[in-house]
Amino acid sequence: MSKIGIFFNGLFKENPSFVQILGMCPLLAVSTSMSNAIGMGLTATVVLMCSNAVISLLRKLIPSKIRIASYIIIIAAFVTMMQMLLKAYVPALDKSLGVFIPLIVVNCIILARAEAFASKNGIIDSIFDGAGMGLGFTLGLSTLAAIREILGAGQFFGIDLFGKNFQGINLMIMAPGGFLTLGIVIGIIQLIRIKGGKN
Amino acid sequence: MNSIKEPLKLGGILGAIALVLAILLSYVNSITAEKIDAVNAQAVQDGLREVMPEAKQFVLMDGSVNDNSYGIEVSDVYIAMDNDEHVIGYCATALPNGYGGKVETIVGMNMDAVITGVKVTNNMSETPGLGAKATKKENYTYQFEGKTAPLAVKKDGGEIDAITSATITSRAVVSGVNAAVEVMKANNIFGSYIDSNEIIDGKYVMPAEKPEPEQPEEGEEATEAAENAETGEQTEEQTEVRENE
Repeated sequence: MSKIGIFFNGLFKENPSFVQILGMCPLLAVSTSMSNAIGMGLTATVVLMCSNAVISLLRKLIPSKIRIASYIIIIAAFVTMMQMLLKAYVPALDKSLGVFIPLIVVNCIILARAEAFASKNGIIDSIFDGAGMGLGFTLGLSTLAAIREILGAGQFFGIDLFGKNFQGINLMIMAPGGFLTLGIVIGIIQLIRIKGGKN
Repeated sequence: MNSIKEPLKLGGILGAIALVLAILLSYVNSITAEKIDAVNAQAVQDGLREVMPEAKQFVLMDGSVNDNSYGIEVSDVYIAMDNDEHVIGYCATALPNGYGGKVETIVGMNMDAVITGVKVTNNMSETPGLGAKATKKENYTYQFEGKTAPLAVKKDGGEIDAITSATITSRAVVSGVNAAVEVMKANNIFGSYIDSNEIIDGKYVMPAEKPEPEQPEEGEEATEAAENAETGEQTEEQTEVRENE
């Protein structure tokens, strides 16, 4: 598969959020506003690209018996570095994402790509896979966040769309709104995929 | 033989990976630590300036107040001063419980305990679009300016308009403001004489001869007792003084 093919595979065909249904916890929790979604998605993308690159480099050195432990250490190190950098240079984002940054360590998209792709492929391919999957996750997050923020708060990236007196549908911002939106979006995407398959 | 060698080899590899990453982490930490401290200090100063715009300088009152007696932690008391180093008020940080955790609330008060401003920092996890609206002054906290504690939201018979659908956060901020003012009163902060010579390295150290607050903290007493234990004579003297009081 070409490099571009690997990239778009992660972004659309095997989108981690809507097709592989991975990383649901951050997807539901952080998709309350667009700025949080983009920030979370890009942070996870950087971690995913770095961890994929290092795991791919070390794939012949790491014995299979301790591979999961090694992957977790590598991922945790990159997440911690990202958090330090965010705290220093984008403190506002660090504060609004809070505990979800350290929780990227246990985001199963990252471990799944390490196990399923980076441990079997070369470093360049792995970086492209990381970028595709990471941006696929960002796409998933921002799709949900756009729907939830516009309907729930009447805002987009924190900017009022319908004037100050607009009363949003609070349910959309709360946890149930996340589940409802996710279900409907996955349903629509499945419908398109099934119809596309027939043609 | 093999059964002993294998775990050692695996452990060694895992240890080597961890070691390399630890070195890398300590390098990133060394280049970001200073910047993180500066960002945090700047955030504190910005918050203080927002609750008391007239003040030109804020000095941390060192170790004076860390009170939890109202069920709400109040700490970080800053003395606000104008250009001539005259004390014009105080700022304190309260940590009341909101909907998703502690809601960090900075309260500015002038010398007569009138609230000059309230700032809800981003350092909290209220729901975006609901409770998180409290961080913007024009949404909520502008209402506190010029009022005196105790306050309450309109639902509880008070004068503060709660944020729509975020009553818990609104109540939390109000209770934080009330606790901050009460704690400052209980610790005799208002009207206490501040000598600008006592300010060392941007921190104000409470002078030893200052009359004890009515409700001294347990922690302070414990340290005093420990100090007194070292010099037996002083203990007797101070006990006498206390009895006289």
